[in-house]
Amino acid sequence: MEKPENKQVVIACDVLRRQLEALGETPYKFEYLDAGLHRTPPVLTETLQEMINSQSDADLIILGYGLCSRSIVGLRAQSHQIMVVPKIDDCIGLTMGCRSSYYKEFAQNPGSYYFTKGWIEASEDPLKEYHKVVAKYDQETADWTIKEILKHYKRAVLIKHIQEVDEPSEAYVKHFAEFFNLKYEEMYGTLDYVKKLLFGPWDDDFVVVEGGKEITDEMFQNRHEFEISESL
Amino acid sequence: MSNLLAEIQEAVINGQAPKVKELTQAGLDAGQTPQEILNEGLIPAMKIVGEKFQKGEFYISEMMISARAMYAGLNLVKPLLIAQKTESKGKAIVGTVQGDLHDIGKNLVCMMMEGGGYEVIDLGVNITSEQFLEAVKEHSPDFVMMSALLTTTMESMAKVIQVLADNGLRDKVLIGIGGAPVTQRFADSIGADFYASDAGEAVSKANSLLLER
Repeated sequence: MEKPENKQVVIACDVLRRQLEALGETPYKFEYLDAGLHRTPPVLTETLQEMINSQSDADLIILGYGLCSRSIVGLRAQSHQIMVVPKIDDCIGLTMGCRSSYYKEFAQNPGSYYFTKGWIEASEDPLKEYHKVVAKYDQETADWTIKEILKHYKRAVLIKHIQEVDEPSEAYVKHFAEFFNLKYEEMYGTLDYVKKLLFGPWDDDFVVVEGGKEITDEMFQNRHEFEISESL
Repeated sequence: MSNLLAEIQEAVINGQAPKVKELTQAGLDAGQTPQEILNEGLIPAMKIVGEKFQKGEFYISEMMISARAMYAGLNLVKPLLIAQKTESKGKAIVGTVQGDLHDIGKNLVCMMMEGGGYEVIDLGVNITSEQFLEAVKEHSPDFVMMSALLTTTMESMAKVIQVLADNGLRDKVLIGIGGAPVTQRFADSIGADFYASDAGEAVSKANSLLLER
């Protein structure tokens, strides 16, 4: 007997793999894209659109992305497809669980470098870049570069999506903090947002686009409610 | 292009500050004009670096190292240009908007604008709309250039434009914006005069807008 076609697809950043996998069995097909794409927003937009276009059989496309430097603005699925996107800025907010906590956290502690387990595993970060610069140039250059990059940072924060000890992640972020002379902190995020992304309900925390319409900035507009200046 | 200018370009792209300095000096000693070294060596090299960054071929650190190398040459050329009393093309105030502490792109814009013959007033990072307003009042610039690296802070750009408008200063300046989440469409939506995808483009767009004015 032929396996029924998977008509629901999740296209997500590699950084979210851990969180999505933690949800267990799902009826979805998963397509993960390289986390490094976030560095080049126009390339990310293009790659995402190509991936969406290649999923003609699907009737539901779920994006495991936030605004991510507005890379998702302008994306369009086909007219028979529904596309769902979390109404959030990036994977930090997604892991924290809601946009307002992210904005509050951001306003209170702007100089923070956030990590999740997925970010550590899938993404570049200044420590990895430091070692690359040492290898390609020299140590003095690497010291200067990363000092410049991190000069406004004060904290390295590990956001855990579940309440458990995660020694490798803790060790990595502690090492990162110590190496760059930052304060190490931990906070608990949640899996609730990604859970809702996959299983609904798609309430105000989501953008649901139907009929092949384009994703626009306006769809994300309730971010104005959390003006940074108000919470400063 | 002379061999030397090609070598300067290569050294900037490779991020070799001492070599750029040496080559720039050699060029000047051999009678090359500071304008030639700047416009055919240092600046085009940084444009190539900017393109490489946008394609993901260069990391932010590599771009910074190239910028540092370019600066090593710029430092030799600048006093000569000043001595020639080359008139500044115009004045720009540049800053990263409120809530945002990212300054690498903004610093590149400052450097390229300076290299491009503009007087630059760098306001720094986390600049409120009131600070932009005060700076416009104080310096009467031709350009106000804003940078934001985050979707959480880019809305502040609209606020700056609004505050300038409220104070009757919006039409006295040309407003340019940039940063990873910023696009031409966003620039249009908030009523900025131009958008630049990198520091090199910021200069070329500033140049053409000045001509139109």
